Amino acid sequence: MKNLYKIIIIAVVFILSIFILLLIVRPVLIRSGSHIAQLTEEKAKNITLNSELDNYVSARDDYYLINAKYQKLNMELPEKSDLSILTNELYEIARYTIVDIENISFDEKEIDEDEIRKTPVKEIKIDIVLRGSYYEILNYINTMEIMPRLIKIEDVVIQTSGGDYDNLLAFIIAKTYFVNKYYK
Amino acid sequence: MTTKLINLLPKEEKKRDIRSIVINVFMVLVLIMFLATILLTFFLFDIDNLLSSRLSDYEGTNIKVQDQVNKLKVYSEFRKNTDDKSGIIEDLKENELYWSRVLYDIGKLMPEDAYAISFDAMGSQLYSYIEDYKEGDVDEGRQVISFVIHGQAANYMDVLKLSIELKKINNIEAVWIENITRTVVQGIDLEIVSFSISTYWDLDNFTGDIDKKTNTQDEDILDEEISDI
Repeated sequence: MKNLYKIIIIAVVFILSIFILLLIVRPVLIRSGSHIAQLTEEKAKNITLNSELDNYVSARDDYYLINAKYQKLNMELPEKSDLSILTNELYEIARYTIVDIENISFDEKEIDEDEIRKTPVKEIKIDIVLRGSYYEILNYINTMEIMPRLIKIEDVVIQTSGGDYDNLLAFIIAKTYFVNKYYK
Repeated sequence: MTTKLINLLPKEEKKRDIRSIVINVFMVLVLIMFLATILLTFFLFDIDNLLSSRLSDYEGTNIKVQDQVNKLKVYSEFRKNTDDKSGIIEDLKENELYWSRVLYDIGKLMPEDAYAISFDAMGSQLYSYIEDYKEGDVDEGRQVISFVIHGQAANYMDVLKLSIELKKINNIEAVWIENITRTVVQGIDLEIVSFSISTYWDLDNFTGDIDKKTNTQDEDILDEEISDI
């Protein structure tokens, strides 16, 4: 074969090789690089998701237990003021402890606009005036303290009325709470 | 008609055609390079296909897992809400006073010849003190009143007995006899004493937990700072 033909073949093959490298190999390499990066990302995401999933699965497994706890907590600290239920409970306790309620009043504490998002609960002040013997009043206060709804008794004044020790007059100031829906 | 020259000179005498050798070598090299490029191309395509299929597998799995995570997230949020609520209730219950226990103790400790005319329990003062304490806004040596009893007794000894007994009530630090006044009951001409006793809280019992909590929080902050360093 003449040298000239050989040179032409060399040139053609060389140019062809360069074209293959530039037009096929290079794009494939770039694509593979991006695939590797994506794959690394997806692998990391997969690990994170799996560990998240494990946590959530354990939360799901405990759902009934947590739900029971939540229901109990909801009774202690309801989502709404539920004053009708509370009033009924206070009268029921009075009936059970044989005291006479003379007066009940409720007063919701106002929260400043700046504080409304920072305060998790709203407060209701309860004033109760009741009549009964010392141990009946004690029993009433005790039942209030252990009732399902959270009630904090702050002040108690017990007085005799006309020297009748079976008919004492008690003034109770207590506080109860409910969830502040504006709390963030 | 083409003619071909035949070199019949002995090998030693023949002239070496270096250009031809170089061209041949180049041609071989270029051919090898070409073949290598072709092979590399196939190899890369193969790898790329493998990567693509692995990637789509991972993407498919991740989409499924993400879907599950989204579904189960509700449970986790529910658990968090429950824990938050539990924390709020715990804070509200902290240092809660149980007046029924105090009333029960007073009834039990009252001497036979003494009785109360009025009982005045002032829990709101303690709650305000605790709030002030949390904000570091309390004076040293401040006393907080717990309850006041006004009553009558046969004689001053009964009042003293009562004041000693009242100290046994939980969280009471000091009992202060405000006054003892001689009184004559009209009609039956009986001499008795009227008294007034105030009691004060043992504040350390209420602030101890707050101090412990503050110390723990401080230690946590310190630990975080150290780990940051």
